[in-house]
Amino acid sequence: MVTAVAVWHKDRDPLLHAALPLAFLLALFLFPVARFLLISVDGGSLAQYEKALFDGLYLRVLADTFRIALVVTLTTLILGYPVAYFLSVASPLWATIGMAFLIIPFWTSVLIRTYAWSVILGRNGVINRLLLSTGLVQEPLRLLNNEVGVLIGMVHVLLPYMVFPLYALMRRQDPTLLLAAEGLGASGLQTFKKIFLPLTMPGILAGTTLVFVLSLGFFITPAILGGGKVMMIAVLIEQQVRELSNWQFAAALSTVLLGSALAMYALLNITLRTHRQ
Amino acid sequence: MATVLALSGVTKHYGTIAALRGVDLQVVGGELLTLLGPSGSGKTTLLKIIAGFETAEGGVVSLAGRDITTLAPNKRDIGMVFQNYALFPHMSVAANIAFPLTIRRVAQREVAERLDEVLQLVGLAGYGERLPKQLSGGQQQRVALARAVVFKPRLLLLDEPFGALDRKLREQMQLEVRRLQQRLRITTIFVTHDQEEALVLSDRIAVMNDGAVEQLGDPRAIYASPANRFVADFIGESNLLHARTIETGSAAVLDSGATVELQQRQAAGIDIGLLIRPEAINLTTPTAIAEGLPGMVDEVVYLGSTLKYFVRLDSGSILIVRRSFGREPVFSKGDRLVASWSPADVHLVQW
Repeated sequence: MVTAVAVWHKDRDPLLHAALPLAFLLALFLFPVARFLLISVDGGSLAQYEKALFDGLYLRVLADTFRIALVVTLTTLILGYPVAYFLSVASPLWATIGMAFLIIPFWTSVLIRTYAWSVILGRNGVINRLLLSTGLVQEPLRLLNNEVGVLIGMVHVLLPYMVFPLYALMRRQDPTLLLAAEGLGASGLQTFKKIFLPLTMPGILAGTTLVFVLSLGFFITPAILGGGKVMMIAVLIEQQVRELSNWQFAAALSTVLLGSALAMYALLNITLRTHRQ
Repeated sequence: MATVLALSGVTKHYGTIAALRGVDLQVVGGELLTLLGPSGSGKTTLLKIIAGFETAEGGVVSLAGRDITTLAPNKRDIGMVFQNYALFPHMSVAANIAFPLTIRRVAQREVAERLDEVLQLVGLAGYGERLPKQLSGGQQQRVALARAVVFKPRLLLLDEPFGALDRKLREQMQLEVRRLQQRLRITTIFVTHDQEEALVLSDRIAVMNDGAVEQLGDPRAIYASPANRFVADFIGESNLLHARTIETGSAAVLDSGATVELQQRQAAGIDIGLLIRPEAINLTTPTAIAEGLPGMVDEVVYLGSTLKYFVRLDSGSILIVRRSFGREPVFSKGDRLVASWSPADVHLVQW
């Protein structure tokens, strides 16, 4: 048996091992991507791209998408960095409890979480009723069907994607480095700025890229919590396909989205490489 | 010489366990004092309290006459070399060493000068641009040492810095550290569990056990006249025999019933420990006139210039004996013999 397995391994080309996954990717990923690339330049014209990138209306959507993605990314970083730090230095018990708070929502469907937020943030939602009953506000706050709601929902859904890479990196740091810095005369802030922050920079880069790229293409949360008033590129694509059947334009927008995501990823790789040197 | 560091009545508990039970210690300017003890003896806790990473519950720590008991570590002006060196992996050798200077906002030109000087001192001139991971263990240790002395601290702390090095490199680094310390005349506290290392490096040794200093003295005194059973046992190889002094006080009776002569008169009828170093014991073939304790060779170990015997006395106790090789008769495993020593070589310790 052993030799049979060895022979099987030796005789087969490595490409053959990858044949099934390759076929899978080819049929379900590369083929559709190639299709919509073709559709977007239907008739060999770049008119759809011109519309997507130069028409003020759609440029606005693209700019909003990038702006929301940026705000979400920075917010998750500001919230996630201390959380990751706490988890990385906490006792095993507290680390497990903290992780559970992150992972259990992470495993819950985005749709369910988004609807839960619409219940919490609505005019008669938990937050508004609490604020009204304590007299902190006279009028219910508008937290739903606008950008505020979208931002809250997206930050919540995407926070784990920021925390996990940071946590993984922080866990690997040697705590005596911080003691050494302090012993050599550095204050807490100096130790953070000169030692801890640079050492966790790869985690920051990985987390921000992940969250930014995911934010760019986010659909469910802006669609539900934005109530049609917040137009992000994925929402626009869906609208073009479902309501207007404008496949050509939807394909061009998708290509722009894909290009943006790839550009971000390339930027991360370059930054990481220079950081390592 | 003036006292640089003074500890008085320093205590520390972890939960219900006493890590330090009132330690008093004075370190004078320019000396290298070793805190020597087994793990759990409190030596590392004491070092952390001196560095400021832990705070003493009771007692006072003062550096150059100033009470620093509760002062933050970054305000203490103490250089420390960590067990794993704790070099900043994202900084070059030069940036690592310059770190305490840039933190203190020392002028750029002076930083460059001192950097050159200290790199020269530790034999790493030309290595400034490398990253720590591109250096060998010994080189990394030199960087850690350079970083700890470059800002001319009042005190240098070394936390078991040689543990990660192989034997040959360790011996070389020990001598280098000692040379550097003497050249800079920097007051140094060195923590180790390795008694050999302590004997080689130290001006004075504080032997620690169970959260207290058992004995403080220069290496010779610690080795030749240990204050108690713990120190006798911990420092060097030793034979410790229990005995009880007889009425006249000039001799003592071993557990086996044999009587041994004492050099100095003792009170009668007390329990004492006889400490005899392995090199002070003579072995002779048993004859009618041979005086001493009869026994048999249990094991012989060849150690280059010396031979180490494990001798099982007829009373059952084991003696470790070290004899130089070549000039005297060599015994083999199973040989009968008589072990004896001069009363002058017996050091008495409290039982």
